Amino acid sequence: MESILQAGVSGILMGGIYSLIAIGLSLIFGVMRIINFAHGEFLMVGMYLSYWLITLLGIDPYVAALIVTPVLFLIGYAFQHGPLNTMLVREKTREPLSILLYTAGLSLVLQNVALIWFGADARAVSTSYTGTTFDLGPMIISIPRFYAFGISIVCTGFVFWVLTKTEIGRAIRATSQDRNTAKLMGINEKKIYCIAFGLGSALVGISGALLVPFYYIFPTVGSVFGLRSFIIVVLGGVGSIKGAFYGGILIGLVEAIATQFISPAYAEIIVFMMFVAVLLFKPTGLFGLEKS
Amino acid sequence: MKKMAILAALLAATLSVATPVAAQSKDVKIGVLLPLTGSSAEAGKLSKNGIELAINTINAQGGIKSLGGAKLLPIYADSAGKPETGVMEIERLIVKDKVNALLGPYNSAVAAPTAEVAEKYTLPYMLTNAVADGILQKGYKYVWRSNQSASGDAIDMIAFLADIGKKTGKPVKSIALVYESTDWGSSTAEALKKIAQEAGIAVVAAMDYPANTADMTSIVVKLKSVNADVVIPMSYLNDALLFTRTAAEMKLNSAILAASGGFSLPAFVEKAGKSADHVMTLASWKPDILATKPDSSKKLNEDYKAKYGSDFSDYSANAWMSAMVMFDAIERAGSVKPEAIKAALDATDIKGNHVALSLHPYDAISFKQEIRGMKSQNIHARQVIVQVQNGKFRMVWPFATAPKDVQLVWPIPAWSDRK
Repeated sequence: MESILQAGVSGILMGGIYSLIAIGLSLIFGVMRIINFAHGEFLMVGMYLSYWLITLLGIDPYVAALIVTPVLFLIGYAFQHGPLNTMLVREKTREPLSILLYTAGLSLVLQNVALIWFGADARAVSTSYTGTTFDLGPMIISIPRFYAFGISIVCTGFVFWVLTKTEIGRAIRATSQDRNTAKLMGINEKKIYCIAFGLGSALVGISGALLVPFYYIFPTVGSVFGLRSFIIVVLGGVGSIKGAFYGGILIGLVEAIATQFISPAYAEIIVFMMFVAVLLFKPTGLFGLEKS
Repeated sequence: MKKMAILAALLAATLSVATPVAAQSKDVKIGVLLPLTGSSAEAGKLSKNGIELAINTINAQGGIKSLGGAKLLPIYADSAGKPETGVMEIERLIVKDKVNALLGPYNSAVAAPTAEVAEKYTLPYMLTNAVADGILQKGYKYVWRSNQSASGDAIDMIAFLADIGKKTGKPVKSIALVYESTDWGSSTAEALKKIAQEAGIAVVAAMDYPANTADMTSIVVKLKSVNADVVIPMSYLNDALLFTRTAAEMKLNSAILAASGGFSLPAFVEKAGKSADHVMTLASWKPDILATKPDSSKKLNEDYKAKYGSDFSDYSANAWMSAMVMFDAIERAGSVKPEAIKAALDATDIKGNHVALSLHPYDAISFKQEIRGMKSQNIHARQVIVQVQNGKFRMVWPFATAPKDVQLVWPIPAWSDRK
């Protein structure tokens, strides 16, 4: 029983990070209707960036997160402003399929550039938080994971607040509901795209920075978390922020609990089965939430 | 007129290319297939270092004497760690480059289909580092392996666990396995289960997990609840680091004995830091082995260090030895004909102070006897066990040949008793 409790708590903590990554992906999809296949690679960029900040400047990993997040926002913004908007204009009369392929191609480019520049070896930073724990009753809680979870919750709340309470957020939601009507209402859709892509990238950037104190950095690290975030987005309902949040926690929990009863390899199969079942029977997502 | 000039020029070009090739036809061409790019590029590079040093050594000593001092000429090909690329490249080595013998390819998954190709062309192929049993259970006539096999790994590990009880009076009664769900992971786990049961050691958990996982906390939690004396993980470097760090965080008190993989790489101790304390792993080669070796072996390691900046490692040492066994056979064959090299390899009977045994803890190399269904497997191959002590791999087993100043820490201190 104790071990189920321990696994459950650890699973929820890890789920918080999954959520944050998935929310970024869901936001981008909700607004632009494109799946960013390079989402995982943006995570990788965020991780390497905070790795270099921590090792070269010797700063605290959470201070590094404060730098990585706006940098990733700018990268995402510029990426949408340049190539993606150009392609959107070119393909405005049909589904922007080439953008989908473009992000897939970009993910391969980023992976291989990282492979050449940084090598295939895993890198790790031993920060003052690495390996630290505290006891919660019979349970052991990893401090960097606990912080990552807490910051994830705060970020999710922040994104939710921006979307529901601010002018920009209302414009983002309007664009995601109906881009043509939004345009008629005087919303600059291209700018909204840039902000949404920037915000999605900033979220994945902060996730990367939060992972660094307890995970390893390698060129293909994006695929470890990228695939999960696709599944979570589908489970939670594509484009839904709340759905992505609950979906992430759920995946973390399912992985951890299933491991206690059957093997970890089967835990992954269960996750994929949930994915397939939701697509088939409940395409609006497991939680039936309205798109936010 | 113009056409004639072009023809003449082409002819001249062909001739000028052809002449130096003809002049070098005395060279013995060694085809070397390794993962020089891709995710096992690091292991490929280490293997290449070992082979390169072996070739340089032979050439510096006057080449293959029975062939009038013919020089060894390596021709490298990159498998990228992928079976289909490996097959293409090995065909190219055989058909286009017309190599006389083959070395490689590190990955077991690449070894299986490329062995098929070598067999088809009847070209001698010495496996380096690829451990899967299945490759040699096909009964190929042109494929050999000098280093240990996967089932041999399992036998050596269980023998070590049994020896612990005899030496310390605190026997290992139960083990738990955590293995990545790949060919290597599951075949080694199967072998371990079988051999452990025969030795009277209970296997209390066997968990396969998808390689390159995001989190190992729940796995470690499960391991804590089964509370085995020893946990045996089978993982490559990223997972090995994640597992070790998580085990330390969650205060897993079972001893860890890894089945090599990522745990045996120098990068493991470097990056896992304090959490790697007392972790044990199977290894093919570590510097401590030199303690029982003559000065010439120490000199060899110094040469390696001078050229490549670090000691030999498991992969470079295995590659070096495999290459030396192949070159020894070519020397004895006195011919580059495949049948002649094959006959010499089959008759291999390396013992005692033979140069090919400079590094490894074996007393012989021979392929004459079949073992566990494998043909042409060196039956004398043995692994050692090392334990991480003060951030270094120290050889602790076999107890008889381990350095005198190194003691196995057993039982492993509980996390609550560590500083």
